[in-house]
Amino acid sequence: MSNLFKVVIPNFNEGAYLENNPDVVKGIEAGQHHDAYDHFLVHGIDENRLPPLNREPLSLVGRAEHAAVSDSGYFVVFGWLGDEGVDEPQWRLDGRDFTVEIPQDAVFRYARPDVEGGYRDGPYDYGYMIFGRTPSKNLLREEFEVRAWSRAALFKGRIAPDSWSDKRLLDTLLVRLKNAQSHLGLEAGMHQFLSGSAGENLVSLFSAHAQANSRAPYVETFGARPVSRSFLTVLFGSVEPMLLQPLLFNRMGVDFGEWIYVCNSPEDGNAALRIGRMISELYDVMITVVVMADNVGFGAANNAGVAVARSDAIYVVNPDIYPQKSQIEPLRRALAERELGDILWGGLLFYDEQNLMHSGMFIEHDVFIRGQGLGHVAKETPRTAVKLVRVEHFDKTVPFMPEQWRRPIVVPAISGAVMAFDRRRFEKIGGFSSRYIYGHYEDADLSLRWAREIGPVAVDPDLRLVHLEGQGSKPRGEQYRGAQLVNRHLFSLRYHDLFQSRPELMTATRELAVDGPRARTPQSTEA
Amino acid sequence: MRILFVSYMHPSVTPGGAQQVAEEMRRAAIKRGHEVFMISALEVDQEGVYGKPGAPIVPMPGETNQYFYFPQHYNFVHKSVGEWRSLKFFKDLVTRIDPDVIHFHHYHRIGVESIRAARLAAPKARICMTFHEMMAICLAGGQMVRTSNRDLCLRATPIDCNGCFEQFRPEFFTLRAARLQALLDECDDFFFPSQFIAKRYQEWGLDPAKCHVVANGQSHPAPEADRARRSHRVNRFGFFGQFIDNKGIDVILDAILLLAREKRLPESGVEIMINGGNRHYATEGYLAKVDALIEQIRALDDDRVRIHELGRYSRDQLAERMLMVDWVIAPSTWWEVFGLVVSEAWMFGRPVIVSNIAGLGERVRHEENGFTFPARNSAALADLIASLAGNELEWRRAHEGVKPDWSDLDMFDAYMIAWRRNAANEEPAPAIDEPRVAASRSQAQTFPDLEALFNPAGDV
Repeated sequence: MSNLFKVVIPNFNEGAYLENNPDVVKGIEAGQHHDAYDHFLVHGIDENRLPPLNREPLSLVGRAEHAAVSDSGYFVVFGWLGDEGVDEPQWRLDGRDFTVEIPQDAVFRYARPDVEGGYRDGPYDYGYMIFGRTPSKNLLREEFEVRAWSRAALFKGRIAPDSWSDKRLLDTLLVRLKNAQSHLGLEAGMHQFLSGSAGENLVSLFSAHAQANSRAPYVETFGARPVSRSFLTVLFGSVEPMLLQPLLFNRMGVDFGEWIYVCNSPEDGNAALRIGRMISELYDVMITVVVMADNVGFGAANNAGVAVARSDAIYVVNPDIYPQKSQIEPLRRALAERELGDILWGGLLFYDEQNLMHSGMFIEHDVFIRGQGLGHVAKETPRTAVKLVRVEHFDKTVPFMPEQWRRPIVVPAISGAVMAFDRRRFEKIGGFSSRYIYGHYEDADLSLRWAREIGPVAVDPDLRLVHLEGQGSKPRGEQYRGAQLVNRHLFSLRYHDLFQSRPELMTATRELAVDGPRARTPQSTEA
Repeated sequence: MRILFVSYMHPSVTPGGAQQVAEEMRRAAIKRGHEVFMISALEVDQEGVYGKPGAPIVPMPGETNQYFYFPQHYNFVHKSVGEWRSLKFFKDLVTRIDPDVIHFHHYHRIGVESIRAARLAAPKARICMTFHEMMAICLAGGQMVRTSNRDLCLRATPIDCNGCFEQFRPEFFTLRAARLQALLDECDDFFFPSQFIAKRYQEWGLDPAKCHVVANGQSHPAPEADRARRSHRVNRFGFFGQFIDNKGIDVILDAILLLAREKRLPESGVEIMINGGNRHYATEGYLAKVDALIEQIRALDDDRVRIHELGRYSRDQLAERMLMVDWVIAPSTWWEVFGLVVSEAWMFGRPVIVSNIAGLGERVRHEENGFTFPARNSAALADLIASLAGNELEWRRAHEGVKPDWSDLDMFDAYMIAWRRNAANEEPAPAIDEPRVAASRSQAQTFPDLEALFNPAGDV
């Protein structure tokens, strides 16, 4: 103890200390401590033993830079905190007459290079974003104080929130997440954030948006007639595919029945209606245009399209899917003869006339770990490690050899680029999930639910189409990339247990035993 | 026969090659006794003057059987009319006209969907298209010149096109071409003014069995003009055409500067007459370059070289402008599809000096019916100018070598052969060869004897 400096506490009351802390008495008796004063100096102060030593806590540097509250009571706070990971800070928002406790999983920490340059040069995730929702929509619509404390240090920052729409708040969060960097491990950190209340709040925020904007889409049909199949394409950011797809399928002699275009960007609605009518009149084909009130995402938009389809044989076709001359006969055969039944069908997608892009999907995973902070005190808690799934393609870029593709293959999942199914089965499992924000992973999700509740998921080797990626939707905005990132976590969270218990579901394939008649009976439901 | 022509623009509204040929065809058809209609698609900014409220198609003021068409929501990239309404009115009009032949001159602004609409309106009509440039093949205005470095492009591959337009992925160009080919294929026949452009379109994907080559012809605006007239010094070189980058005015100016630097300016002197309008279509950089070259030449302060900027000219002024010069230079730096200026020069007996490229190189044979030099090669042009300025012998020889005019009626008759043959047989017609047909009408096809022609005392 000789190297420790002498501390004097003039009003220390030894009797009161021993009375409040009977374990100290035993420790002194056992020879562990010299006296009550000695125990207080070495342990009591740090353990906040009674009677307390009145001190002003140290200040943690930081800033509450921006806050916003949305129409439905969701809120975000952005800022930075110079805690350097000594301990996980506790968070709280203090208003004049209320306090909002912030759970750890509502806070995402990320790198702030500007802070590292101006405050302290070191690899630590100083940035924070707090995302959550209060029961009251209006509670946080006043200036409040952000409090964070770690050990005996406290940060306090006052902030007056902006008032935002739910959509703006959602998009802002997605953009921030998309652009986030981390010294400690971005993927694992984000996974922790999304696996708790923040993830659920994001899902409910988007689901409410999708529901509200799916209620009453504008629907217009040109050239109505009985049909035995319905092609369905969701458009976003471009109606160019309407100029291309029906024309090129029609000129190659492919009967697509009706073509339903669901326009997920209402600003393109007028152009979609104009072109829909034009194509219908020029080529005497049936075109249905569905204009959503806003971008409700791939899943909800497809569900809206299926709801207005005039047949039960649904072919979901991405806006970048086209026929190719060399494979036109098998395609016609697949459309004319294949019984959809209780199978969720995918197709062979090509890069070009000779090479496959893929033949169904399997599911892999990547492992990510989360590091510790600059000032972290070693504990026995293990490092955080998370598994994120990765959807991969079978037969990526292999030469197409027709003799290898004579029978349908059961696969774990198929791409939403081309999907064929019976509408009644699709609706039985609730259609595409709208838990996925904007787009990505709904196809794998549907495949897994279909396999569990309806029947096989299989690739029809005759359903051959070329996939010109990048020529379909034109998402203009970083929020869509952010949503793709978030959806990977949401998908991983949803199916983590299933993949742990039944890993064979991720990769197994087999030939489908379908020796029955290929001929399909007409499935038109409307004259 | 009832014939409907559908053209891009109308020469009475905006001068230009494609619309001029369409108009020549219209007039020739009338001369041959056919019942003729014409629908001319105009630009959006012309609707205010020439259009009527709410009407995609309106009668052309003061004309019979001629209409102006204003397709709405036109998509330049896809050459597409973006709405049903314009096509409906177009289709209704074609239905009423009920033509035997529907001949499109160009597809730009008209929209490729109009071909399909025409087919629906007149299922039994022969539907044809004359191609005047390569817009369907090349998004860079159909010029097949790379946007990055102005290099000539040989083939529009998706990767190369992406190099010019990075905002479009290569796959986009694949789809664009497939769509345009599908819509153009609605035509029964394709016509091209030169073998060069016919070959390009066939390589691109058009059915060769439908393709015919018929040179553009035109009526003579001043048949009484003295074709043998020339200046005293035979040293006037004229440029005719639009003042745009690819027409190559800068090549002429570079050649003159080179001659001056090398002290090779002909003793007869050189007069450069620039007959060019539409400076606003040129890029700023190009205009600045040309202006700087002109300044340099004027700064030479040498009596042996003079530049005259005469500006744009109308067809009524063509004879006057042509007869002011002795030689016509067409120094195009791009794939000149046909070279209307060559026809105009020949109409007035002017020998031509042209870039040996595309349609120009195809029509002009060096030292037979004119002179050629490698495209963009100002040094080679300088040599030609040095050797031809003041050279009366060469002028007379070349003048006599100029072919008889390929007139508007020649052109129309050649089209009629193809229309009728195909309509009767449903088999592809052979290519119409302009020189062969012209030769059948002329007795002076052999290259003239120099000695017999040369007459030092000839009229000037």
